[in-house]
Amino acid sequence: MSSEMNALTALLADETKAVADRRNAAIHLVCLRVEAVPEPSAHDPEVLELRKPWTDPALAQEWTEITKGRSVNGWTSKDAIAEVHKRHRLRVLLGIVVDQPGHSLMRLAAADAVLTDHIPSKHSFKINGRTSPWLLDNIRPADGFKWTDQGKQPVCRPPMDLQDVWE
Amino acid sequence: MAAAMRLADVLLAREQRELAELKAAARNADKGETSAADTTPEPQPETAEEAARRFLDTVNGGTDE
Repeated sequence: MSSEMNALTALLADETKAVADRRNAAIHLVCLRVEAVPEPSAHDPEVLELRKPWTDPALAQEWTEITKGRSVNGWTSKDAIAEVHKRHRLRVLLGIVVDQPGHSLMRLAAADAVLTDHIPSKHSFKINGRTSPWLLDNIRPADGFKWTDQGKQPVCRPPMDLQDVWE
Repeated sequence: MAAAMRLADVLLAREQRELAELKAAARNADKGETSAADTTPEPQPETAEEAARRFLDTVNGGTDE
C-alpha cells in the first residue's frame, strides 16, 4: 500500500478529524483504488468476446442499419479494451460498495463514483434521483438473485456488474 | 435475448463514447478561442496519487507556508 493510501486510511479512521476531511479521504482512497486497475490485455476473454462478429443475421442487419455499416464485425481492439477496462474499474467500485464491514464513508464514496461514472443519464437511478445512501440501503443480499438472459441466477460476490448489486 | 442485450450494451457504450468525444471537441474548441496564440504545452491531468498528496498536504497544514 502506498504512503498516500496509508495516510488516507489513517485519516478516514480518525474520528477526531472533521467529517468533511474524512469524507474527502474516502473519495481519494476510492480514486486511488480505481486508478490502480490495470488495462486488460488484447487476449482478455471479455475483450475477445466483444471482438466477435455478429452471428445473428437479423441483429447484424439491424446493427448495420443503425451504424451505417460500421462495426458489424465486432468492436475494434482499442474500443474493446477500453470497455473492458471500464468494467474492471466498475467491479472495484462495486466490491467496495458491497463490503459490509467496510467503512461507510468509503462505501458511500464508491457508490457516488458508480452513479457519476458508470450510470448513464437515461438509467432509472438517474431518472428517479437515486443517491448514494439510497444505493447502500438497497443492495441485493449476497445470497440474492438476479434476472439474466439465462433466467434467474444467484448474484455474484464479488460483483461482476450492476445487476449483482441492485435491481 | 443475449444478442439483444449485447446490442443494447454496444449502443449504450457507443452513445457514451460519442458524448465524451463531443465534450472533448467542445473543450478543445473553447481553448482554441481563448488561447489560440498560446503555445505552452497543455498540462497533464492530475493523477489520483497527486491529488491525494495535495489533499493530505492541505489537511496536514500545507507545505508551502
